[in-house]
Amino acid sequence: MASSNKVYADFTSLVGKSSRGSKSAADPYGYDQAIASGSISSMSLAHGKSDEEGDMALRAKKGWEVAMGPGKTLPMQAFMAWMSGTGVSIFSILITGMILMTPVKTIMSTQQTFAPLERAGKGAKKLDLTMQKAAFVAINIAGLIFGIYRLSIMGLLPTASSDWLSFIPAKQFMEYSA
Amino acid sequence: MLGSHSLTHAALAAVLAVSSFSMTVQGLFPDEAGRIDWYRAQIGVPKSIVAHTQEDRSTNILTITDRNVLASLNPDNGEIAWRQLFSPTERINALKVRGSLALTHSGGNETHVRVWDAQSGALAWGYSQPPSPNYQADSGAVEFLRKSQDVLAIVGDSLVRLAPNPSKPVWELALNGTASYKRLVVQDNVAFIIGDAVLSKKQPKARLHVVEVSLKTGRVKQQYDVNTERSLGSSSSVVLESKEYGGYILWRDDKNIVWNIHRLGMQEPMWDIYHAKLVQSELMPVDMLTSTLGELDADPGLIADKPRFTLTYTKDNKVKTVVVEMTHANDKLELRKVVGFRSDNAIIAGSGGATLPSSGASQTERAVVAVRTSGAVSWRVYGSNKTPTHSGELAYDAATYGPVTAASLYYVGGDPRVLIQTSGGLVAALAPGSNAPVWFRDESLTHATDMTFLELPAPASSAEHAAKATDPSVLASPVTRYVLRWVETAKSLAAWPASGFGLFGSSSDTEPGSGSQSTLEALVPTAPLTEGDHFGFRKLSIFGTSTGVVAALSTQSGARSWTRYLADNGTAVTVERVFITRRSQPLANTPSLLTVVGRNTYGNSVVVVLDALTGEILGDGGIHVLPFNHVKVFELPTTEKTTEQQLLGLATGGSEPRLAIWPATAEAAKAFCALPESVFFDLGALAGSSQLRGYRAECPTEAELDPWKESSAFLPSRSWVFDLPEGEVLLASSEYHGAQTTALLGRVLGDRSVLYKYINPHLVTLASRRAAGGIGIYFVDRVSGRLLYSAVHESASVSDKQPFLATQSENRIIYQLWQDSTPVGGSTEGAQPRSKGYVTVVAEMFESDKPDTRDESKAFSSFDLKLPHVITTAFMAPEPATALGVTRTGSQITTRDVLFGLSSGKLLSLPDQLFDPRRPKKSPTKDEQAEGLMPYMPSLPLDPKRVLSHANVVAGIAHIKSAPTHLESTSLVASYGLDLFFTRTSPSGTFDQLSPSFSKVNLVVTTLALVVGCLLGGPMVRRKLTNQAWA
Repeated sequence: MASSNKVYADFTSLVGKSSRGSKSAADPYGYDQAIASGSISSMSLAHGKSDEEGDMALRAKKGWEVAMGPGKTLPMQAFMAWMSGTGVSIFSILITGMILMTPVKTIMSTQQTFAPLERAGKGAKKLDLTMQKAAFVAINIAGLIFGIYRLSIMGLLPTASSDWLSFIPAKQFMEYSA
Repeated sequence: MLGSHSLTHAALAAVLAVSSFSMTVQGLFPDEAGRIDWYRAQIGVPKSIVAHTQEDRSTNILTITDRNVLASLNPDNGEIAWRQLFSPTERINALKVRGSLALTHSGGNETHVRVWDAQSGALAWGYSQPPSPNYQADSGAVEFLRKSQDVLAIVGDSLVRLAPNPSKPVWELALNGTASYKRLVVQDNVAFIIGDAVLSKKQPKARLHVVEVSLKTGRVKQQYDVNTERSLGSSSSVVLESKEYGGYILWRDDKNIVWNIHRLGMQEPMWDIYHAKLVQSELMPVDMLTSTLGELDADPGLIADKPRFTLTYTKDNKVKTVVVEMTHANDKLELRKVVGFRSDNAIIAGSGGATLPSSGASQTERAVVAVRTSGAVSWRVYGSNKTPTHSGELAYDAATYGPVTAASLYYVGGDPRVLIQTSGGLVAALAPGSNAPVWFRDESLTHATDMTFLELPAPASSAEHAAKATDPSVLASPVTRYVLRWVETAKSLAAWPASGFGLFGSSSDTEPGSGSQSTLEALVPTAPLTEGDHFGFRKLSIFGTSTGVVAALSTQSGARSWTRYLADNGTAVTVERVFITRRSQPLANTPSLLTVVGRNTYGNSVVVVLDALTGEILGDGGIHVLPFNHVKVFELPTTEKTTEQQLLGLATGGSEPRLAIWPATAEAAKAFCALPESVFFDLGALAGSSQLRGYRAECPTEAELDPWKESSAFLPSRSWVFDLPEGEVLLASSEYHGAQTTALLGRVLGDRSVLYKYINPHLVTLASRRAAGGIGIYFVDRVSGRLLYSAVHESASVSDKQPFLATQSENRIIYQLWQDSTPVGGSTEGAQPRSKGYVTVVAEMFESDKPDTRDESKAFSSFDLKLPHVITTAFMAPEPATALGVTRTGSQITTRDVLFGLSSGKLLSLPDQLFDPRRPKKSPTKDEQAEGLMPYMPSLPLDPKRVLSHANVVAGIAHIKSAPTHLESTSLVASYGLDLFFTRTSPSGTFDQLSPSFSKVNLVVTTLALVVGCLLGGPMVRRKLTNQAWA
């Protein structure tokens, strides 16, 4: 919402500047002062209803592209992980940290990522992007699982009995002997 | 303003933090030989002392000791000039000195004669006589021949004449077991050997058998019996030797007042009669009947003429001693009084003084010393006059080392030195005109039987001491104490810059340096050590000895803190065990208690409770002689409520053992009966028996506990008997010592699975001799009597020379055996490859052979039917060990080192990982590599870098003990036996300490530079930011 306002604010300032500045250069060809400074209504007046549907479809398509985006980075991450090896070193830890943190951060910002696509402008009809979001989250979870798998092959997950050895209380001796 | 304020605070905090480091980095250098360790060479308590004067008139003291050491001491300071250690099984019987040569006779049936260079201690030559079936016990003597380098010796059952470097004797005379020969009298052409004749029913009375032998041929000239009715060495007979007049035996018959004198070799008449009244006119017949005769000189052959002896008698309740000299006048034997003096409670000794070969015996060297032993130790030296030539006194408290038991006299540049020995094991040299000894040697610890560490209270600050006096409630909470310490630190910080920031300060360790105990240390320690250090390096090591001495030494410097001599009815208590039964809290008023358990001469159990810090004997009775004799003493896991004293259990032997407790009070008995766990005990592996018995303590009803006396005891029930297989005999046993702490309950394998350790504090290792040969090893549970594991070492053997040694820690048992698999008769068919040497065997016990398999129960009971899975392996030991031990740290997080006391006098520390029985014998798999297992190597390395004793020769290590310090990385190690060696070691490196190269100055300078940078840079940055905001 805020971004669409900003777009208009820029155009308004343009208008203001041109009206104020007598020294400003002549308008470029094809520039229509009315359109540039016009309201949404003038915009909507300019487009037909079919245009709006096409825009929705376009945005839904764009939504799928955004949702599939993290999937494209997965092979790259896998390659980096393979290159850095399974030993515990600063480099492999950094890469594993990145592999783990990126999906988490991305999942947290799912709403922001899809917000520009959901509504074209202020008061515009909201596009339902649930499927795209679900796919987006699922792919990121896959990335996270890959990160966890990597942790486990690096031996950093407390899955072995040896990891819990220090927490086992020593046995009490029932008898005393000397 | 606020910002700069907080910066100042930060700087102050940094400075405080830095100043707190200044306490934590002293003396922690890992390789500071002689600074972190101390060493004391010892010789044992002298049996015979001969002062040896050399051609250049310098004197050395030669001595043989009860720890089988031949040593030469510097007469000026008592330091060891050289020493020769004999095998523990080869007793040194006699020492003779002639000129620059010393002669020793050692061993029993298998006898060794050795000639040493008295100056350097080098072996000139030696001779060994193989054992003989006719050998008579205690027989043996040795003597130089006159005007010859040859030696005459009674060895085994033979008399031999030995020339230097003998491959065989010049001649050998078989004695056929006719007597137990103990004395040799050498004349120019013949020698007499005198022995106690073998008693028979026909001739039940003691008599001496004399054999005259030709020195040239070794033939018997004559042999006969002298019916003295006295044996050699009795207090009514002496043997006199004279170059000119021959040898004599002089004795007094029982209930007879006259002396009989037999001239050796003269059978007609067999003896003459002599009246003692001719020597001392005041002697009355009644005094004569109780009189005793004594020999004066340790080496009578040295005083070639005028042999002498003492006559001691009591007249009018006064003890008097007369020195009698033998002379000849007109070819007639005459006995002459040299000097007489009062000798109540005195020890009389002659100057066993070796004479100069050229000048012969001078009058001073024929002097006699009388040392009074009751009350203050005073001594007088008599020449030929009734008035003493020299006298002196020693400020000595017999409660520290016991009464004086022996004395000898020697001269240093014409000045007499009196050497005294006490029953506790102190040797001191006294000189006229001083009431402190010229030097002394504390040899009591060569007889140490047990040792324990006492944690000393951490040094309390002066503020804490002040608070104790004014407001003790401050000390109750650790928080207030911490605040108190900070306040004091802050105060001392003000003085810190003035002291040059601690850069030029001296070390806070004010204890006297280690090194030879000599003239530096006071005989009686002036101030006992009562405060430890911040790291627990300085503790007291409290020793109990079989000579009755209990002594506390600083573990850091070896300085004696206190010594106490325990005696019952005038005889030393043989101390067997020492226990710390109460540990005092810092600044508390109740002292730490030391309970000493021993035996008196009758075998009765003796218990003494002492203040562990001062050595003061506590309680009204002092020494408690109990009406039974124990076979085993052990700690019980409970305390008496009022005194907070830990209970000790004393088990008596026999078919129906009883269990007494100490303190012997009704309250202690109730505390014992209130124990939640049942108490089991065994009576120890009695060498020679073929079974081990286990007992369970039973409690009677509470009413029966009430009149509890020292003689009261529980009647335990026998719960099991462990019988060895037919024909096997128990040799030795080993058990855990002290509470076992375990940091990790399992072994983490390469695949991150866990093999769980089998930890059983009740495990006892038994070694037995099998009928078919070889050694059987049994791991037995002491509670249930169950056999947990057994092994057979078919070609192993255990003897005095090759003892069975074992050490147990956590789930690992390490033992060492002598193994000789050389086939008898030389046939090698079908036999194992020949191997001969010491073998170190390691057995590690796990709950299961499968990883991640564990008994999940929270409690361990020996009655569960689970058996451990035991993995074993064996290594070749680089050198025979005399003692085994393991380092101990506070939480056992640090890896352990296995400690070996080697017969070559080294204290070797090898890492625990070397002894891992899981070390792969083939090339290691990935998992084994991940686990960090080293490939198996059959022999253990003798790495010089791992020799803790570095250049010191720590002779006769019999025990190795270890104690944790407050630093988890560091462990105190103490070894004792003959020599003492204490050190500290960090098996995993000093991970919790700053390295010695850490520069505190750099840290301070860097911190200060940063603080200054912040103070200067802060306003500048703020100004810049403000300017930017306006731009």
